[in-house]
Amino acid sequence: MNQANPKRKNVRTGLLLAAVAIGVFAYTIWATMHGASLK
Amino acid sequence: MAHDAAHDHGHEHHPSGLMRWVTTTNHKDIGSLYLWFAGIMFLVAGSMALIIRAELFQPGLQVVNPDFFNQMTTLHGLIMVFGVIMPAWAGFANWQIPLMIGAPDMAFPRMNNWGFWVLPVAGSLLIISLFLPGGAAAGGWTMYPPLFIQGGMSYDVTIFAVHILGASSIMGSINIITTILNMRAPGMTMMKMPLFVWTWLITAYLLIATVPVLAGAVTMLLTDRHFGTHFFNAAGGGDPVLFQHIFWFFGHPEVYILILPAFGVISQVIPTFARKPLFGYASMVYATASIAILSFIVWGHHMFTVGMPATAQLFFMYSTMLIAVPTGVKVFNWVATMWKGSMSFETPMLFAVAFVCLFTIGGFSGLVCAITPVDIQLQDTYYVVAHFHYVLVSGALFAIFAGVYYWLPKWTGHMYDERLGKWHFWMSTIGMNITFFPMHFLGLAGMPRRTADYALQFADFNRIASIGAFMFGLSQLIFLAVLIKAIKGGQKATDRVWEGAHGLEWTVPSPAPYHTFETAPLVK
Repeated sequence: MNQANPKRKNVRTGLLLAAVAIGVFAYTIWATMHGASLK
Repeated sequence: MAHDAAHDHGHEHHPSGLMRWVTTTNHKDIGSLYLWFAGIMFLVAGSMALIIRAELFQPGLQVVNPDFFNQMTTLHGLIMVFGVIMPAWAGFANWQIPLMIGAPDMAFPRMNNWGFWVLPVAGSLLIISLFLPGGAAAGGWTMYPPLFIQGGMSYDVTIFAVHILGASSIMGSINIITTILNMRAPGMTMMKMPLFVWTWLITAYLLIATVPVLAGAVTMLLTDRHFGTHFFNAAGGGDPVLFQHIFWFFGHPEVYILILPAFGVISQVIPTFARKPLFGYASMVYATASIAILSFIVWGHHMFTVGMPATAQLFFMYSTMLIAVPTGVKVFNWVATMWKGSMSFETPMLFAVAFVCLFTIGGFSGLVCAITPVDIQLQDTYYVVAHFHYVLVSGALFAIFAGVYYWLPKWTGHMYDERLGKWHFWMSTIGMNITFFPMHFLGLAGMPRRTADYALQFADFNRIASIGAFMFGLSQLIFLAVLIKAIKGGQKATDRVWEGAHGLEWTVPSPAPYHTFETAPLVK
């Protein structure tokens, strides 16, 4: 509840979540390339 | 918020007219935009449903050709899921979450604006695809290859629209998680948060974890279509069934993305009109989290007939049935909240009670479908159509209605017309049951879904379903009338609106001022 300086904490949280989303997207394609297809 | 009070002056400095809405970063404005967008798309996708039901009124082909029929089923599904229910919940989140946690706005107001304004682009693309050569995509809302690899230009447009809708969802969920984690008023601990905020927090985590999977799947469809890859193309060594696995790894959590905020709204409405605190608050939170976690390990139940090993079928069958446990906890808690309550039945409560009864029917038919040997019979029949419409119409949609009636006086400052609201409720509830209950019988008798024509023995139940559908459709015009009437005027709403209502949103005036909680409230 970082009421004193919420902006910096918000940006940190937002970037972390965006990184997770991009990571899941990349992993989906990577795993598919190395998985059952393209064999 | 304990930020610089000097920034709290000059509240109403915002452009007027169209530019107010295009440039707005205010959570209430953006909430209204989301809700209006969802409402308009509801009329569009609802009209498509009526075209489907008109064609199915009797056997043979009367109204549309089979290809256009398939375009209607595809677009109806895509728009209802991504253009109606998800944006409606985003609208509720924008309006209510800052008000309920005592925050002045969302964490990222500019991204909030962007997250909304890409939606009309995606919605327009889906509608415009109807006018492209060959018509809109007709391969079903699930976008399965090989059809989605082989189709024409409109399939690319659909894939692009899904990308945009996904980006909007991710922006929205980043905003919601950050707002809830970082911007609660002092004293508002996690376990004091209203249930609607809890359910949206968990929903937003689901979105972050699964929407990129959908984005990955449709990106691979696109590269299969245009860039020579063969992820899902059997002719090139790819595997079309793999798409189904990836799609449903997203698709099943998506079901909970649509329904968890509904659980939240119902958990706000029932205690208000039962005039009792919610029974089992902590167990509601844990049940919601359990449902979300379990939703990641059940995707295989959507594809029991693809030829998976018996061990996998057993795993997906049992894991699916496990979800009935936390869902049952919720239903029992709602009933226990009403037990010996001092209940009154205004329109939000009517929709909430109908939700508890009818969503439970959809839950039970879901359990029937979860039994592998039974599902092998029911796969792709109207039983499945009946099941998911009980979950999504009398579930998600009824909760949206309940929420709109519940918070409309806070949003507009006027009480809605209770008599018209009750007409809307009864017409919708009766119409919905007439439409979808006979579909159970049609499915059990073997009528396949996604077909414009059917054998003669299915005629009677189809006729009944079509009459119900038009009744349901007509009743939504009453809803529109209620909304317009409440926005234009009516009896002035008090701050607390409902006698049994508790929570921060009821401490601000009705309508809620443009800026609220610039000085954080203290929650005890």
